[in-house]
Parts: sequence; C-alpha cells; structure tokens
Amino acid sequence: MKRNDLVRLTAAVVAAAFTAVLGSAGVPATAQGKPIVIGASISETGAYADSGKYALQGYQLWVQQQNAKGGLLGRKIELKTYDDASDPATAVRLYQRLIDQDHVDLIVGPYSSAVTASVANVAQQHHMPMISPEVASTAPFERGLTEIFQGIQVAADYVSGPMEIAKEHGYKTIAVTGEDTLFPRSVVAGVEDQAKKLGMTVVFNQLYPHNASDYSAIVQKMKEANPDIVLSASYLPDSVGLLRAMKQANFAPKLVYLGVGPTELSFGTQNGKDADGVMGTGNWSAELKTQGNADFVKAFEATFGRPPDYHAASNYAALEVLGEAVKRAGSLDLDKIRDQLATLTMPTVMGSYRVDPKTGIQQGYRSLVLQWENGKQYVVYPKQLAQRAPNVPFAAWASR
Amino acid sequence: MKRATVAGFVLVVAALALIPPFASGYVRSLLYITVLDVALAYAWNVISGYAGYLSFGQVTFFGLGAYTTALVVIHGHVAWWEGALLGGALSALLAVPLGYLMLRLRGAYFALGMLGLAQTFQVIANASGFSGGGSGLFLPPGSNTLAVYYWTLAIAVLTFVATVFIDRSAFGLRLQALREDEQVASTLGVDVTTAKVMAFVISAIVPGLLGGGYAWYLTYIEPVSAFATRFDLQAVAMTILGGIGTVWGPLIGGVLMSQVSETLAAQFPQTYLMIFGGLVVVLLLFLPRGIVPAVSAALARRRARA
Amino acid sequence: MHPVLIGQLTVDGLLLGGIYALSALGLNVIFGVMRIVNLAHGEFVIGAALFAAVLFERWHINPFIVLPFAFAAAFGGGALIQRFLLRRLPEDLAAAETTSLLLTFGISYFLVGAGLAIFSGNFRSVPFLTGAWALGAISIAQTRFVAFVTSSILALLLALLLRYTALGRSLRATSQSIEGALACGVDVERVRTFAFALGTGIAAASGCLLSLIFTVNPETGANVTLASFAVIALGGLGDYVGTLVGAAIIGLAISFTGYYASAQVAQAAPYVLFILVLLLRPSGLLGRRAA
Repeated sequence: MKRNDLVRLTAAVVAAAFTAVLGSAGVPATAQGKPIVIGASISETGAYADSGKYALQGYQLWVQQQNAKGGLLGRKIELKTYDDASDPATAVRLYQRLIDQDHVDLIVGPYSSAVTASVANVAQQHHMPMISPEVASTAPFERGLTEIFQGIQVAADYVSGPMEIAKEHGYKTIAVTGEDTLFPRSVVAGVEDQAKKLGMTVVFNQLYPHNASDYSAIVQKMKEANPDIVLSASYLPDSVGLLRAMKQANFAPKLVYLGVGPTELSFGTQNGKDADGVMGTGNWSAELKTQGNADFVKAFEATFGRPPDYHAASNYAALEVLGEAVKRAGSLDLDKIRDQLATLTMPTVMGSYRVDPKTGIQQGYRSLVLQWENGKQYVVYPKQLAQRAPNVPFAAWASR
Repeated sequence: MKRATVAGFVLVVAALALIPPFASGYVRSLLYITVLDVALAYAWNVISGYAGYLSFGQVTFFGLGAYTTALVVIHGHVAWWEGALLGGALSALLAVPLGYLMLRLRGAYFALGMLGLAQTFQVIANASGFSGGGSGLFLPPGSNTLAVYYWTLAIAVLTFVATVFIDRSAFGLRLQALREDEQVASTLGVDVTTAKVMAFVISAIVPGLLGGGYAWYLTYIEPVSAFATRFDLQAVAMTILGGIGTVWGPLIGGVLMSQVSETLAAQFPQTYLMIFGGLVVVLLLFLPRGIVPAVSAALARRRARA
Repeated sequence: MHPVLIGQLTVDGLLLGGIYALSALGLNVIFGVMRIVNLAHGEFVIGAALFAAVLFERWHINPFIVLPFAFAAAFGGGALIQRFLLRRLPEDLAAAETTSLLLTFGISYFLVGAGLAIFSGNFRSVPFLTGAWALGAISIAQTRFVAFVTSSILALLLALLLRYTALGRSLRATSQSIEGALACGVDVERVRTFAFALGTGIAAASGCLLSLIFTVNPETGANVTLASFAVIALGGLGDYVGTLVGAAIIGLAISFTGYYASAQVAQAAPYVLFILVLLLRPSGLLGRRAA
C-alpha cells in the first residue's frame, strides 16, 4: 500500500519538523546570578547594510565597558543579536524569538523606520520598553505606542542646518529631492514652510524612488530650475549616484546637501575629490564635545581598530540611556524602566538625551551639519559646536 | 483518497490548529510564516505545477491584497479580514484579464513577464500618493497574530483541498494535458485558454487573500516588502523541492525548507544564504523532480521487488 | 522643445542603454544558445564589480587592468559550472527549463551569501573617470561612453562570430536543435560549455566597467538580472545587435520619462516595455528569430 507508506512518511516528516520547532522553545532559567541579556537585531545585510557592523560594535563596546565596571545591578551583561536583513517580517520574528525563546531581559530597537514600525508592535504587546537608536522619522512614534523611544535627532530637524547656512549667505532658491521612503520624506516634509519663514523659495521638489537606477534625468531637471542650493534627503548609494550625475551634468549649485549619505565614511572613498564641499547631516562627530565622547572614540579605536561612525555612537548612547534607566529603576521591572526612559534626562556621547514623555520623540539631541574637505569631515553647524565655518559656494567641477 | 491519508492529514491540521494558543509569540510567528509559505506554494503549484506555466510574479496579487486591506482598514474602518476578502476578490477580478494577456507567453518568457508585472505593481504602489507612496501605510497597531494565523491556516487547508480536487478532476487532467503539449491538447478539443486562465485565477486569489493577513500582522506595509520577490522564490523553491505538480509536494517541501531556513538564518546569518543556495543546488542535482516523486518511485520499486 | 535638452536626454538615454546592453550581452549568449535562464547572472556581474572596487580601494589598481583577468577567471568558472552542475540537468526540455531556473536561483543565493561574507553589505564603487566631456552644450559622461563603446564593439564581434565562423555555426545549430547539431557532428557539450563560459566572462567584464558607473553591494545583482532580461526580451533572443537596440530603447525610455514624467515612472518603464514587447512581439522588436 504505497499510499499508506507515503502518508506515514508525510506525517512523520511534518511531526518531526514541528516537534523540532516546539522542542527548541527553551525553558526559562532562573534569574539570580544569571547575566542580564540585552537583545537586538542589526541590519547586517539588506538595503541599509553599511551601518550594521558599526552599530553592533557600538553596542559591544558599551557592554564591554559596563562589565568591566561591575555590570548592571551587580550582574554581568550579555548581548544577543540577530541579523534582520532589513526585512520587517524577519525583524518581527527575531524580536519575538529574542523575547520568547532567548528570554532577553531588555531590548533595543532595530535600524530603519520601516523595520522599526513593525517591531514596535511587538515591543508594545510584550510591554517591553525599546529605545530606537536609529529611527529619525517621527511617524512610528505617533501611533500612540507607549513603549518606544527615539534615540536620535528628529528627521525634520535635519534640513534647518543647511537652510540656515544658505540664508546667511544670501542664497534664495532651493531644489529639493530625496528617496521616496519614510525617513527621507520626513526630512523634507517641513522644507516648504521653513523656506517661507526664511524668505527663500522652493523651485523644485521631486523625489526619486528607492533603488533608482539612474539620476541623470532628475539632475537635469534640477539644473534647469537653476537653484542656489540643493537639499536632498539621501542615503549612501543614492547620494553617491546623485553626486556623480551632478558632476556629469556639470551642475554645481552654491550649496550641496545630500542628507545622511555623505556622513558615511565610504562616501568619501567612493567620490574622492568630488566629495569636497558636500554637506550632510550627522548626528554625531568624533570631535563633538559631548560627555565621554573623547574617551568613547579612543576606546572604540583601541578595541576595533578603526574610528567609530555615528551609528556606533548612537547605539552606544542608546545603551548608555538604557543602563541609566535600569539603574534608576533599581531593578528589571519593565514598567519602572519604561517610566524612566520617558522622563529622565542625561548627557550621552550624542548630546543631551530628553524625550517627549507622551510620544517618546527625541527633543534633546541636536543634529549637526558636516562638510567634506580633503578626505575629512568637519562640523560646520551649529555655530557653538562648529569646528570651522562652512565652505561655500560649492567649487565648480572643472576647478577640482 | 484512502482513509488513512485523510486521517493523517486531519491530524496534522488539528495539531496546527491547537498548538498556537499555548505557544509563545515566536512559535506562533514561525508557524504563521510556515503556513503562509506553504499556502503560497500550493497556489503557485496550480499554475506552475499543474498547468506548467512557471510564474515568478504571483506576489503581484499578494501585494495587491496587502494594500487593499490596508487601505480599506485605514479609510473604511472595516475589519481586517473583510479587507482581506476584498483583496482576494480584487485579485480574482484582475487575474482574468491579466491571465488572458500574460498566458499568451510561454516558458521563461511567462516567468519573467510575471516578474516584470510584480515589479510594475511595486513601482505603482511606490509612485502613487494614494497608496502612501514610498512611505507605506501604517495600520492601527495591536494586531493579533493568532487571528491572522487561523485565517492563513484556513486558506492553506482550502487550497490543499482544492489541489486534491484538481489532481483528480477532469479540470486537472485538462491542465496536465496542456502542460505536456498545449497544441496537441487544443487539437484534441481541450479549451486550453479557459483552463489555464482558471488555473491562473486560482493561483491569484489565494495570495490576494493572504496578503491582507500579512499587512495586519506587520501593522505596516510598504512597496518593497509587500511585493518582495522573496515570496515567489520561497514558493518556487518549496514546491520544486517537494515535487512540482503533486498533491503533497508543496507541503513537504514547505515544511522542510522553512525549518531549515529559520534555523540557519538565526544561527548563521552570514553563511545562511550560502548554505541555503548550496542546499537547493545539491537537492536539485540529485532530486530534480522533487522529494515526493522520488520517494514514491523508491517505494514503487520496493513493492515491485517484493 | 529645446533642442539642447532633447539632445542631452538622448545622449543620456543612449549611454544608459550602453550600460544595459553590456550586462545583457553575456546573458543573451547563455539564454540564446542554451535556453538556460541564468538567474545568477546579476551576481556574476556584481561579483566582478565588487572585486574591481576592492582592488581599487586597497591597491589603486585600475578596473580596466582588472578587466581581462576578471574575464578569464569568470570564463574558467563558467566552464566549470557548466561541466559539473548544469550538464546534469534532465534531458526533457520542459523540466530542464524549470530546473535551470531553480538551479541558477540556488546559485544566485549562494553567490549573494558568498559576496556578503567576502565583501560585507557595504556599497562600493570606483571613483575613476567620473567626469564628462562637453560636446557643445551637451555633456557626455566619460565612463558611460566607454561602456557604450565597449558594448557596441562586443555586440558586433559576437554577431560576426555567429555568422562567419564555424564555432558560430555550431552555436546557432545547438540553439536550434540539439539532435540536429549532434547529427551534424557538432560536439554539443563543448559548444554549450563555451557558450556558458563566454556569457559568464562577458558578464564579469561588464561588471568591471559597471563598478565605475554605479554603486553596488552583493544584493544589487537582482536588479541587473531583471534589467538584462528586459533588454533581451526587447531585442530578441540570441540577437546581439538586437540587444543594443533593445537596450537603447530602454535607456531612452528611462531618460525621457524620468524627465517628462517622474523618476517613479522611469523606474517602471523597463518592466512595462518588457511586458508590452513580450505580448505584442514575442520574438523581439526586431522580429528576427534567434540567429
């Protein structure tokens, strides 16, 4: 009876598979003396991959340093991370795995607004407070969820820097572009209003899609609008593509701001001399005079053999805040920790952490404008933190 | 079907239905994704396995279902499953003209044409303000994985039952005939166009219904993940592994592949892709028709020798 | 309609087409001769691009110098893949198409994983020849022009190879009927191995050039694969001059719709064209059967 054998085989296979799944749902261990486990997923692969490694190392450094000082609440700290490949459904499952299977005590937020939007739901359902060290758009925080907190500057804040610089130099017309996804859209959302307040005009405003193959057409259109400045909410690959297209079209407006892409270290490698003069928003810089920053940079370089970038810094700062919240709560009581995260203010390597207790939106950190020159980036805004004055106008292509 | 087979199947479904309420959120999610992938594999099996039209674009309807549900939930304030039903209906409706158009293509052209269709839909979702564009759509938070899971399980079971019917029915015979040689089948009087369009509609309505559940599960959708090629590739891999054009193929292939994927991905994130890809290649070289036919053949040989 | 603008858009479009053609030619050799849908095509291209980018980053080696080596290495690798993997595909053509789709899909996942393990997910490109020449008021991007010229020469060489050499005749025979070719004494296995190796070699060479133009990481291969298939559908299977034409059309479509409509529409353009052509003229825009 061939059929019966086949059925039995099937049943056996299916049963075995599911047993494996359920069997691997671990048994919770007792708390005392055991390490405190912090869980997170990192985007080591996928669309936003450049930052993944740095982000992980930022976490690792904090855990290492904290353990050397005796850990948290007298217990050692362990880090448990997975790679979510920048995919929301994978991240959801990984966080559930961290919570249900690995029984982590605390969690920290993933990268990218899109992934965080889905994971936030999981955090909320499990009543586990979560700081998102890398989500700058405010949309995920405006859904009435009480468990998530923003560990980085607000996106809409990003363009005010370059616009102020432009205003100071008498520039009037703006061309706006950026990737048509959640975070960049938040960045450019307020441009029209801000322009009006500053007496400037937006002469071009069009976004390009994620994964666009070619930027020549949009650059051509911008060139025709003849703007004084270009503001683009771009990530790394698109900022490189845009800059190249601008060079090839011989388009050199007086001020070039390309979002968060330029602050990635490889922007400089990929563009060489062409990067000079390009501005971007950084949430942090190695020379920033924030609490513990100089030591952080030294320690990072000593441990990992290369200087940190802002992903490492913001993730490190997130754990600084979480650690402090746990200390002040005096225990791993999630509700107490949650309340602390909502109300505490403290200095970190990123600046002064403070959130809106109702939404969790970041209010203390200020964003910086960084500008490339000769293979290095310098803070040019705000004035109090600037290392040097902004170098405008943007040099013509022929003169490089 | 032999009673033992039916009994075995009922047992499996019962287990799948009874475990989740007692399991953790992680196990529920895992089961959900597994059942989702298996259901999509079964749907894919109809147009690609039985009818022989290999499609790499069924995610077109999955994304359509996801967006339809998201939009009616947000603007129409209806329940998510009502949105999902609407998504399925819309997919079925669109599948008719799309089917008539696309099924004029053959072989790799059809496969790639469907891939192109999925990309086109993704770009449309990305471009139109109505669908939230690149920012996507936020659904009300607080979704219940359990409800979505049962919805998906129900559809998976129905799709399986439909496959059994197709396998045994005259309709299924017509599909297999046109798969073997469409011209000959047509000459012999088989209405190949109607048959293949019907198969296409079935393969579209299932993803359409399931997409809505997915949107609710994630509470947020955007073009890239709603129309991800991953869904088609998983369905393809699972079905071919298990046995394309068979009744049990997608189930066996699906269960095996999702378990392997999940374990590998969690433990070895860097090398998981290499292992997964290598596994697919190795299995294909040694089991090109899939596990189920290979096992059946082995069993048949054993019987013959006895 | 400003003539300079139209001129610029046309130039941009044609140059973009040159890039598309370059990556599609390798695929066309494989698909055209062997009817194998090589889903791993993009990974071969990107793999070479990443390799070239890293060599430039570390030791400032010019991608043009890397190119012949990349070609040779990929040629050898492709030959090996054909001999040890693809050769084992079932004889039954229908099953072969299905199996080759999945086999190359598996290979592509493997290569993406290997790429991530070796190169990490970081985006890379080579900052070389990034400027543009000016022809009056029109700018001609340097790297793209080089890609355009290379793909044109390559397409011509391939077309000549097919029509005037014995090897070319064997390739054409094999693509039309394996039994027929065998009956004529063609060593089908060697021809197929050569075709796959050549296709892979060209893919790698195009990757080296692409590293100058785009910023890539191990996961951008999928875009290249899709775009290449779109080009082949337009231009016709096995028709290399057709590849140039198809690519030019896609390039022009992206350029003009990008300007007059929006970047989002431009993104859809290749796929829409692809589907339209498949439906209306399945043998390609030039309507010529496989050469």
